[in-house]
Amino acid sequence: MNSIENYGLDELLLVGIKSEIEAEATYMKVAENVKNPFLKERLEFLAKEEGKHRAFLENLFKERYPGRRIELPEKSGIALPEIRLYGEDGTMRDVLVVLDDAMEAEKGAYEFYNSLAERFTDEKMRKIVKHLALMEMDHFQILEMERRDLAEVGDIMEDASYFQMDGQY
Amino acid sequence: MDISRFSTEDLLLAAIKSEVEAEEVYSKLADRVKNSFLKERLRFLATEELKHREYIEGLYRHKIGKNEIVLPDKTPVPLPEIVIGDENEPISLVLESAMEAEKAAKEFYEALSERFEDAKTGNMLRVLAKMEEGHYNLLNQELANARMFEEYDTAWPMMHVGP
Repeated sequence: MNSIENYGLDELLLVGIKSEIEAEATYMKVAENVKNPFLKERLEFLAKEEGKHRAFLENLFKERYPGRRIELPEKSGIALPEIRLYGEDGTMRDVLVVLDDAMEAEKGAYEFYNSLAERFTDEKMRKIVKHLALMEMDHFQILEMERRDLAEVGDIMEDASYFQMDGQY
Repeated sequence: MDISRFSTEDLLLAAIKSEVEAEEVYSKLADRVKNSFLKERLRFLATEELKHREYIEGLYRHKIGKNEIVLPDKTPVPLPEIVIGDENEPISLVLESAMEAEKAAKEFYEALSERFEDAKTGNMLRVLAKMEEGHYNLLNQELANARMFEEYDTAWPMMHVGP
């Protein structure tokens, strides 16, 4: 991630909000497309957390910039890694590749929030933003584990019949 | 974990009982904590334990051949319980107790996977073991957060927001 020191706090918060919105939407989309109910649940869980991060950042923006509308930038000089869902042919990319992207994005978000935390002079807010950073690192670790499981036991993870509980028998 | 002296029925009943209790504890704890992120994470764990239970119940019916599942008050299989304590119990202590239980559950499912000859059941139980390991890791993160932020659960009004 490039340095954020030349950007205003308002812009940084807007970039954070945009990134959280995109991550939430992406995880929900991937969740819709996987068969494994556990993986689905985990992706939905990640989406929910990103939604909560977004809500937190929106509240923070409103508190710091009362009366200003939240207008998300289409482009920003702050390049947070994106999760690419679709390939050039328009079809959804392999789940493993998407998870790789997602892990990079979570790592980028971790670094972003850690840098953002340093913008705050009050200790409490700095801790909260650092806490967001740690949550993104948790996401990274969850995804890393999911990726490992998919790679190791992909036949199970992709085979819905394994998870059909009573119906399996 | 050595589970060789227990019958398959006792092992499956112990597993179901353990999942039921874990789900209850995580749900109760989720109701108790104020931090909305921790609350969501505990609910997520409760949901996964419920799914594990449903799978093991299906396995029990198939392998043991009994439709009705009667859980014993006490099980001979020594699996640690999560000590939730009262409302004054520090969250870090509850998390530590839950981590112990998750670690034991992982070892238990790994051992249980060896009990079944069909690859599908063995593989599925190994997946459950990995998930319990994932729970352990998630709780470990929460424990680190709880220790790092002394006011973790009470003093951050903006952490209580969310959809």
